[in-house]
Amino acid sequence: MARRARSAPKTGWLLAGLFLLLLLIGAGGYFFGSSGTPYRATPEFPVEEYLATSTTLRGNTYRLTGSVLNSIAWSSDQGRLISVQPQNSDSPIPIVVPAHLGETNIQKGQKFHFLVEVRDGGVLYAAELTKS
Amino acid sequence: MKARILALLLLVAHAASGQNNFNFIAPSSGEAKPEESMPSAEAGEEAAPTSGQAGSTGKKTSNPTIGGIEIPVFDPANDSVTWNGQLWQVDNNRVFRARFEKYLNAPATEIEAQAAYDKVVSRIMNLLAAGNISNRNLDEAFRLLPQAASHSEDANLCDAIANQVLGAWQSKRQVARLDAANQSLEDDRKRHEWNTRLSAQNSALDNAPKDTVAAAEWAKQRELERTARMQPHAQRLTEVNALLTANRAKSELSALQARIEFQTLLVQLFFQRRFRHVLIGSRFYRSIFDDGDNQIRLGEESKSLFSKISEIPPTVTSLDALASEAIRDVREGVEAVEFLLQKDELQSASQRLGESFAVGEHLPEIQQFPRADRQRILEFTRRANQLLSALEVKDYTRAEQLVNELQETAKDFDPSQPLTAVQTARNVSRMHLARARNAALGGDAETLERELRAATEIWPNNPDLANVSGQIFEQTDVQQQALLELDRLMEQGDHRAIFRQNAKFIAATALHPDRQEKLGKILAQMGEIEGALQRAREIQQRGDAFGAWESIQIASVKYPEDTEINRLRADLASGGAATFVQSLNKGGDLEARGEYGAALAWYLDAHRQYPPSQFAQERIDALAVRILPGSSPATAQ
Repeated sequence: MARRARSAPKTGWLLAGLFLLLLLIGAGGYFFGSSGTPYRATPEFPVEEYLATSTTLRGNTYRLTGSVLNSIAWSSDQGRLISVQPQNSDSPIPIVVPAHLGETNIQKGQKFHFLVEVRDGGVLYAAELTKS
Repeated sequence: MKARILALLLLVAHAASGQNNFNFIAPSSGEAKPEESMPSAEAGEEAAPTSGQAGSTGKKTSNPTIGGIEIPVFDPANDSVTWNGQLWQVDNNRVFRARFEKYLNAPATEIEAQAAYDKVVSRIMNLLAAGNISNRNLDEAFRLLPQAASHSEDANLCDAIANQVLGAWQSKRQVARLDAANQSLEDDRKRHEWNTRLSAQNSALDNAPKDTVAAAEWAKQRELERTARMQPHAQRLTEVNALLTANRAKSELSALQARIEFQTLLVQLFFQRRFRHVLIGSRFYRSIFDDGDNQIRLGEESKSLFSKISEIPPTVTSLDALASEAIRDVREGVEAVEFLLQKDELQSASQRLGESFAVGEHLPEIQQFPRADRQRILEFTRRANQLLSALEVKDYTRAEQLVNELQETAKDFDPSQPLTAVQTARNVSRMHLARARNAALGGDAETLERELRAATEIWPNNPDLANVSGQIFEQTDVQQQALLELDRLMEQGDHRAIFRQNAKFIAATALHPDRQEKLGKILAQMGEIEGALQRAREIQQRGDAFGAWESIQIASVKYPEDTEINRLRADLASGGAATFVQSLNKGGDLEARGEYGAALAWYLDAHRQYPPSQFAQERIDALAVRILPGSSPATAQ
């Protein structure tokens, strides 16, 4: 009887502490995590609009976050053409990663933040990219 | 002997009744050619034609003539007669058959009327028989002649005999008168001869003077007196002699003319096969002209023919003998017919009766032949004639039927000859039909026509002819229609319809190389299309709608007009492969507009949906090169 009366206050404290800790982590993630996403000032790439008519987007710059699906083509001087699965769409999007950005290893399945420009022919060129 | 008699009969029939009335026989076929068949009769060696058919070839010689009319010449080797440049089959021609049938079908009343006539003729013949001949019987027989002539069956021939007998008697009386006149003239001639002789003698009472000059003058005077006395007697003698010579000639001429007229009548009667009339006439002749001169005075040519055929000199007696022989022969023939009928041997009975009828049509044995027996022979003869007609017109079906019927009727009927003809015609006709059928299959119109014509000529009523012709024409029609349909479908580009009926079109174009080549290409394409369809359906059945669409899409690019491909392609595009096709189509549209980036995105989406897609991969590779010129595929997709 005596032993059961001593352990009850101790468990309650532990549970309360754990809840507080989770609360702190969540709040930290909210306030500090968002601030980690690059190109936040650039508008999100409009996947559906692009797929419907890309000419209206020509000359614009967007940020796009997605996973690398495949490397389609490669040229030593012009760079690499890859397909990316956007974070908010199932449609793969082709992005040209110029050669000067080639220092970054790009592999299938890696998630990147891209700053893309819509050029002639509606072709997306990565102006910058950041591994997520 | 019968052949010789028949030959004489034929000769008579023509000579007596004239060319227009010669209706005993007729050409057995219209194919008879006058210039081809004229066997020699005069030679006695029958230049027999090589066959018994009319129109067969023979030695071209002229028949003998009587009074400028050609005489028919019988060829006993093949029962044929040459006359008027044609060959006549005695017992196998339409006119003879018709006449024989008419005889067989004579009504009972006609037979009864014939019996009354036969009774009178028999009475006349009995009165004139060798044992009964007398002036009284001769007169009695002469009186019965008009009675016999009153029967229509006699055809007034007894009247002709009576007239001839009367004429002969008158001629004989004329000769008797001439003989009496000649006797008187003879007496006159003798008297004038006597007077002439007496006038020629000098008178014994008056002597000549002694003076030489006076004596010469006296002799001259006497000579003048003697001549004056003789002159009337000598002139009358000359006249009497001339009258005697003229009367003798007149008498001889009158007798000869009477003989010739009588003989001509007898010969005519013989040639008309009126044998009893020949006997009656010859017996009257012998009683009138009883000087033993019975020689028939025919022309040398006819006399020669007569003697060569009968092998006896042409006399009234030999004519009598031949007529008697003919009567006997007919009688025996009829007896043979009766015997054959008892044995149901109708074919032989029919032939024997036909022969006897040909010789003794007017004899009582033939005319009184029982009607029931005639009907039996008529039934057989009619069928036999129908058989001949059926064979003539090449109706072999009917001929075979008649052969079977004849076999049942007549025990002695030999079916081998007609059946052989029927079977031969059938075989040859079938052979031609088979050739015609092959020609039709091979498209040989010329041979087809020739063989069909040959088959038709051999057996016009061949039931197979109509069937085969119908099949050939139907086949030809179908073939033509198939070609027209093929041309139409080719023009419409409906290759699938052509493919569905490929067997028909392959057969139809077998003889048309140009069409055959086009058809071959079409069928090869359709084979390819059908293969693609088959593959697409199999892939679809495995649940791979995208793969099925891609398979059929490849075929549709090559064959965009094929309805089946388009239908399956549409079904897949709107069904299981809708999103995949939509991605490809949108990629294609954007690519066409130069929006390569978005186009590539759609191709990538299609590839995402169906990674094995060839279409998507092709376009991805193509656009990758366009976006990154000189690039190479980075990795295997």
